[in-house]
Amino acid sequence: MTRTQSRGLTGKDLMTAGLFTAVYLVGYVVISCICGVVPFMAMTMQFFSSLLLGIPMMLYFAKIKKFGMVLITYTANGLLMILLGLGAYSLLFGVICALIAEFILKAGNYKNFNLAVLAYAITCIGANGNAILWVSGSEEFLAKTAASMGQEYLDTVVGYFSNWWVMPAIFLSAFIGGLLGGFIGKKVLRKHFVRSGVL
Amino acid sequence: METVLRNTRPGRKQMFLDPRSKLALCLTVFFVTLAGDGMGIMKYVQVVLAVIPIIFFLILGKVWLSVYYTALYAFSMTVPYLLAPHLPPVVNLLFTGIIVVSTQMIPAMSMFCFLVITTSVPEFVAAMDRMHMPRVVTVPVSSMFRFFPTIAEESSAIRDAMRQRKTGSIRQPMEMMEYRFVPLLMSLVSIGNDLSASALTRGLDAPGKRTSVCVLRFRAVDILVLVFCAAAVALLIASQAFGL
Amino acid sequence: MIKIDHVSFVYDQAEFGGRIEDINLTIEDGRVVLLCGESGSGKTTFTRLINGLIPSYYEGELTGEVYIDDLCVSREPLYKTAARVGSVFQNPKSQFYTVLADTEIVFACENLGMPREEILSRFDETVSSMHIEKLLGRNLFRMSGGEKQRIACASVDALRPDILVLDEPSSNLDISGIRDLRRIIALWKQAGKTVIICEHRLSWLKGLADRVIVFDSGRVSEDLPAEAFWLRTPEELHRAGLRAPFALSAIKADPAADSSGSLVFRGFEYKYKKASAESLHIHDLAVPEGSVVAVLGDNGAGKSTFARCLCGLEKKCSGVVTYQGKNYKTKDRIDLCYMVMQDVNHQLFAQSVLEETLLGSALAKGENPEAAASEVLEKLDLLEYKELHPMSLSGGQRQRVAIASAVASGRDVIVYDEPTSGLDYRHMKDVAGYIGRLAGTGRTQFVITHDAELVAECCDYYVFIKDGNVVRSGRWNGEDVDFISAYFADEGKEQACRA
Repeated sequence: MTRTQSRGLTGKDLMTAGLFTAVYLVGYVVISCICGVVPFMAMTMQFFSSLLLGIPMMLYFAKIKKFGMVLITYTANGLLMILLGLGAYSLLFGVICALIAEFILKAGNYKNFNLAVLAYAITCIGANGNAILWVSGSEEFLAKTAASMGQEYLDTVVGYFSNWWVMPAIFLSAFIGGLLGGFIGKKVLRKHFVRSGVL
Repeated sequence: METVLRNTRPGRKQMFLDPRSKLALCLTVFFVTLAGDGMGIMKYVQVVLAVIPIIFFLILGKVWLSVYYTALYAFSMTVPYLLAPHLPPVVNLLFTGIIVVSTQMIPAMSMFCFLVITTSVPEFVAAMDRMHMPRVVTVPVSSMFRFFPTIAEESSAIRDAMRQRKTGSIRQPMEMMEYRFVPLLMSLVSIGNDLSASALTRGLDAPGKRTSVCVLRFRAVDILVLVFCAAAVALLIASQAFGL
Repeated sequence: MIKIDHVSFVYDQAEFGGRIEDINLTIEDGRVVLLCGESGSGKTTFTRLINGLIPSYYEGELTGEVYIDDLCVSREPLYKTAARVGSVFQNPKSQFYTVLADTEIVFACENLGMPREEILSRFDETVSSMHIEKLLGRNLFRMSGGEKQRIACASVDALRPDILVLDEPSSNLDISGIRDLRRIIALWKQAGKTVIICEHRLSWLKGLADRVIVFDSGRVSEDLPAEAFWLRTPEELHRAGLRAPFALSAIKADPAADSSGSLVFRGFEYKYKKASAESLHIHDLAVPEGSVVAVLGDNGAGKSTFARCLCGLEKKCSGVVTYQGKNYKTKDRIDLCYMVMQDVNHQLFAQSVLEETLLGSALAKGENPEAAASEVLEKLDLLEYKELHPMSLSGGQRQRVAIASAVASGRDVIVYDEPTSGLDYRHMKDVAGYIGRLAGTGRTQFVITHDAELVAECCDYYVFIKDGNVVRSGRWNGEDVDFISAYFADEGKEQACRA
C-alpha cells in the first residue's frame, strides 16, 4: 500500500499559488482602477478590494495545506507594486502580514475556517500598505500649497493635520473589509465548494 | 528550422536590451522618483528619468502611448496646484493630493508599461533563471502569466452566460459577486488541476538546473544602461548626503 | 515492457474517476493498445498508473505495483517517469503551459535540464517529422483544438519517450483534427513506440490498433487482438460503451414533414477585429420551425460564430432573424434563444439543481415555481438530483441541468454547442433522446456537432458552413445524405489510402 505525502512545496502547490496570485492581482488592479477613477473613492479602494477579493482568497486559503504559499502571493503583490512605482510599503508590510497569516493558518492546522478569515483580514492590511504614501504624499502637497497661501490658510491646514486618524482609519477599513469579505467568502465556500465536493 | 527560439540578440521589439537591464531601469526610476525630493540636482535627474520612457515609446513607434503619458504628466504637474487654493483643505487631502501623488508614479508606471511591452514571458523566465531565482519563485510567476489570459477567457464566457440568463446585474450586488466568482473559480480550479497534471508529466518537478533555450547576455547597450542607473542612484545619494 | 502487477486503486476524491480492481497484465513494446469502456469504468485510471500520475498526483489507496522495464512507476517520483512516458490529455485548452507553440514544444526538455543544442536539434526533428512548421511562432490561445493537440503531441514527442499515453485525445476535434492525430500515432507506431489510447470513438483507429482492452466497472472484461474486435457488430460495440464506425444510412430521411413557419436569417454578418474579410456571411437562410438542425462544418469555418450571433451574444453582428412574423435584431435575440454551451461549467450558477432551473427563468415568476421546475426536471430524468449541487454531478448530468435551464427559460430556440464531445455511446443516446423529446414541443433546435451518430439519431435538417458561408442546407434527401456521408467518412478515405 503506498500513500504519498510530500513535505515542502511541490510543483502542484506552486502552480496553485500562481493561479490564485493571478486572480488576486487581476482583481486588485481592476477594483483599484474602478475606485481610483471615481473622485473621492480613492481612499475606499482598500475597503472594497479587501471585501470583494474575499471569495477567491478564502478558496485559496482553504486549499492551502502547507507553509509558504501565502507568502509567495503577497510577495508577488508587493513586488508588482514596486515595479508599478506605487511604493515599497506594500512589500514590506505585505510580507510581515503574510508571515503572521502563515503562522495563524498553521496554528489552526490548516483546517480552521475562522482562523483563515482572520489571517486573510490581516493580509489585507499589509497588501494595502502603500496607502501610507497616498496619505503622506497628500499631506506634503497640502503643506506646500498652504505655505504659499498665507498664514490664515496655514492655520486651518494645521488643524487638519491633527487628523492623525486618517492613516489608521484606512488600515482599519482594509482589515474590516477583509473580515467581511472573509466571512462572505466562507459562506460562499460552504454553499458551493463544500456542498459540491470540490473542497 | 526558423524559430524564435534561436534568437540570441534582442531586437528592436525588445528595445535591444536584456530583460535584467529593463528591470534595473524600472527599479531605478521607482527608487529615485520616490526617494528624491525634487530639490537641487535631483530636479534634473527626475525629469530625465521621467522623459526616458517617453523616448522609448517613440522609438518603438507607439506614438499614442507617449502622447498619453506626456499629457498625463503635464496635467498632474500643473492642474492640482492651480486648483488647490480654491478648494477646502479636506478636499485637497482626499482628492487633489491624490493626483499629485500619482504624478510621482507616472514615470515608474510608464517604465513598467514599457517593460511589459518589450519582454515576453520566456525571456522573463530566462532572466529569472539567470538571476538564480529558485523554483519557488519561477514556477508561480510563469504559471501566473499563463493564467492571466485564461482568467480573461473564462470571465468573458461566464459574462455571456450571465447575460443570457438575465441575472447578476448591478442591482443585485451579492448575487452578482456570487455568480461572477463561483463559476470562474470552479472553472479555473479545474483548468489548474489539468494544467498541473500535464506539466508534471512533463517534468515540472524535476530537481536540478532547468535549461532555458532563450539566451541572455549582457551587451554594450546593457552595460550603458546599468551605468546610467548606477549614476542616477549615486546622484540621489550624493544629493541627500551633501545637499547638492 | 509495461507490467501491471495485481493493481487496485481507489481515489481519495471519487470525482476524479472510476476505481480499478485487481488488474494484472503486460503490454509489450511497440504495440498500439486501445482501451475502451463506459465512462467511469476505470480506463483513465489505468492510464494514470502508467504515466505515474497515480500515486504522485492523484492521492488514494494503491495496492500492487506498476513496472516499466525496471522502473517501478508506483514508487518513483513523477519526473523520472516523465522521461519514459509522454501523456496527451483530453482537453486541448488546459494542457499547454506556455503561450507560444515553440516554447511549448521544448518545455519538457527544458524541465529535464537538457543542453541547449540538444534541445534545439530535437525541436527541429520533431517539427519536421510532424509537419507542424506552419504552427510555429503562433499563440496557443488562438489555435484550434486540433492544432493545440498537435502541439501537445509534439511537446511530448520531443522527450523521445518509449511509451505514449493518450486519454481521449480526439474528443474535441473535428474531422481534419482527427486525421492529423491519426497520422501522428502512425508515425509513433512506425518508430516502434508503445502507444496506449483511451477512446470512445473507434473508427479513426482502425488499422492502427493492435490490441483492444475493454474495461467494465474497474475490471478488464475483455482483452483481444484488434482484428477480432473490428469484426464486432455495432450493437456489441455499443454495449461496450463504444461508438461504432459510422453509418449515416440510419438517418431518418423524412420528406415533406411540412411545418407551418420558418426561421429566416437575413444579412447575417460578423467580422473579427483583425480579419480582413467577414468571418460570417449569410445572406439568406430559411430553416423550418420546430426542426432539429445540425450545424456542420470544419472547426474555424464559422459554426460557433454563427451560434453566438444567433443567440445575440455578439454585439457587432448585423442581420435580422424573422420568426413568427417578428423581426429579431441582435439585442432581441437574447430573449429568443438559449445556448447550451460547450463548456457547461460556464453556465452553472446555483447551489441546487432546482434553483439552477429557476434562475432567471419565466417559471420563477409563475404561481408555483417549484412544481413547474420539478416538472421540467422530471422530463430530463433529473428529479432525484434536484437538491444536489450541480457541480457534484457528473459531466453528462451537468449538461442535462443546462438543458433543463434552457427548457425552463421558455425560449423558442435552443442552440447546443458540441453537446456530445467526449461522451460514450449511452450518454450520446440520452442526449439525442432529450433533444428529440424537446423537438416535439415546437421549439427549434440547432445542434453544432462533429458527432455523426448524434446527427443520425435526432437531426432532421442540416446546415453546412464553410468559410463563413452556408454552402449547403436542407432536409435529408438522397443527395444531401451522400454529401454528408462523404464529409464524415473523410477519415475512412484516409484509412483506405493508408491500408
